[in-house]
Amino acid sequence: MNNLSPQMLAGKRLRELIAENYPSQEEFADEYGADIRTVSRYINNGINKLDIIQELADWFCIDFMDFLQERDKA
Amino acid sequence: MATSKKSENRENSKIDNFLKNCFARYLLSYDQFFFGVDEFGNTEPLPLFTKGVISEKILNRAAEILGLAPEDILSCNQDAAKKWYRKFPFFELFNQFNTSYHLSYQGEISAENILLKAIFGGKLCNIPERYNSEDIRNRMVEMLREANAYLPGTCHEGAQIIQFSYETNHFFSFPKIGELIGSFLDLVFRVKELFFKAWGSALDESEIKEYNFLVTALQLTDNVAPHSVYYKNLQKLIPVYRSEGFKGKKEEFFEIVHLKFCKNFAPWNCKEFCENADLAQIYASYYSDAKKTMFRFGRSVKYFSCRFKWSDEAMSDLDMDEIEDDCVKNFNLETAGEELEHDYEEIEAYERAGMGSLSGWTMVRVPKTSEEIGDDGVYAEKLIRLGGVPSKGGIRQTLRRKYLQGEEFMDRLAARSSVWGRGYYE
Repeated sequence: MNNLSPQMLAGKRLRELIAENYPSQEEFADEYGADIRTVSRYINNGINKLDIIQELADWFCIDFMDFLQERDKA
Repeated sequence: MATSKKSENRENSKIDNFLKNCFARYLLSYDQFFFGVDEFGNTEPLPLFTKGVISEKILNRAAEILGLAPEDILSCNQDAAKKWYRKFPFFELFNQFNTSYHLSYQGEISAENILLKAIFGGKLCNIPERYNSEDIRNRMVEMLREANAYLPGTCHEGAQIIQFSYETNHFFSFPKIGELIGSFLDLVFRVKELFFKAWGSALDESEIKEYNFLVTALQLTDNVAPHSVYYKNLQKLIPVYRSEGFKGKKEEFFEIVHLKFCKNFAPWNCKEFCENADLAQIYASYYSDAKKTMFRFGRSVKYFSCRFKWSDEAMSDLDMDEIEDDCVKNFNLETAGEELEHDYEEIEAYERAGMGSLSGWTMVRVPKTSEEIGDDGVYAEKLIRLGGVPSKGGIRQTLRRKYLQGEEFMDRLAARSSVWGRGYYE
């Protein structure tokens, strides 16, 4: 049963996508153009801004809704 | 007496114009190099001549910047003035690129407005609105309401949207983009060659001029202290670089310096760049911000970047009756009223850098309709993909700039202060 809020799901999804595509979160942060602390905050505290989720969805070439659903539903 | 004074003034004016034209030919501004600050803190240009007397300091410095001899300037030597233009095709191609860029934004803009902008710089005004801002705003509100179901708090029910504005970009066509980037690389190869030659032996007079000119054109800047590495300073810096472990090998180039020029050169503005992954990958090996910048430019074409404030987050002493929505009337950030303090990209970058939120602005991107985006849509998707994750077709950002911190940074900065002192031009 999923108890995670959509914001926290987005953060979790980001962690998964980074792990699948980059050797480290630092490498992703550097390439994406964000401070590593910002990326950590997104992952650990969730992402509550529509604009950020839109941008990350474009970066990883996935649908925006994929960020807000559990992996097996995406 | 009066006649000779008049004649002297005419001669001085001729030299002054010649010098200004030299700068303009290479898309440089004399004022950005030679300015003072008045009692009110405003910058004002420092003239070459003051009361008929030439400033030797400015003359010599201008000669260094342009890769000329002071005598070339005093004699208005047109041949010398054009030599770099002739040697390096980049400048003519870059002029063509910029002209195509500006013409692409012309649209319904009147010649009068273009002239005003050329004279006064800054934003154009009274531009006919290309998009229906009311429609964009309504679509944005609809989007916020839908998103609120998944991200509670996205929409502030009961609050008004105030100070709404939007911006967007578009592509233009420049079939010679491959040639332009190739000629840019020629500049970089040459400056690199001369840079490292200087480590082994002194450059001769003509090489010094060429090197200095290329430093100006590329804004070749030290990676620690933000100063240009002109030859006379390079000679003092080489022992510093050696003490830091550099051996004078070509692969160390971007560990020592960077090309500040790249910040203002956006080859991805043209469609042809979007179709050439190899070109994009090459450019990313010369500019450390290439990938993320092209990604964001692609998005700025695909979407309207909207920003606004919620009335329930606005300062309580604002008189709501006096707040009018500002609508962007041109393709880039333009405002009908006061100039906005920060543009969309600045606010985003600020937040991405973990510096919090600027001024309570809410930002969201509204997709363009197929009618609004036209064939730019295809190129925007390509550019976004090139700038995005490598596993889905993104290029790799091969040049990474290492930013020093803490004690190591302070030590290296201190080592350079003996070269540049307190000013840029010492």
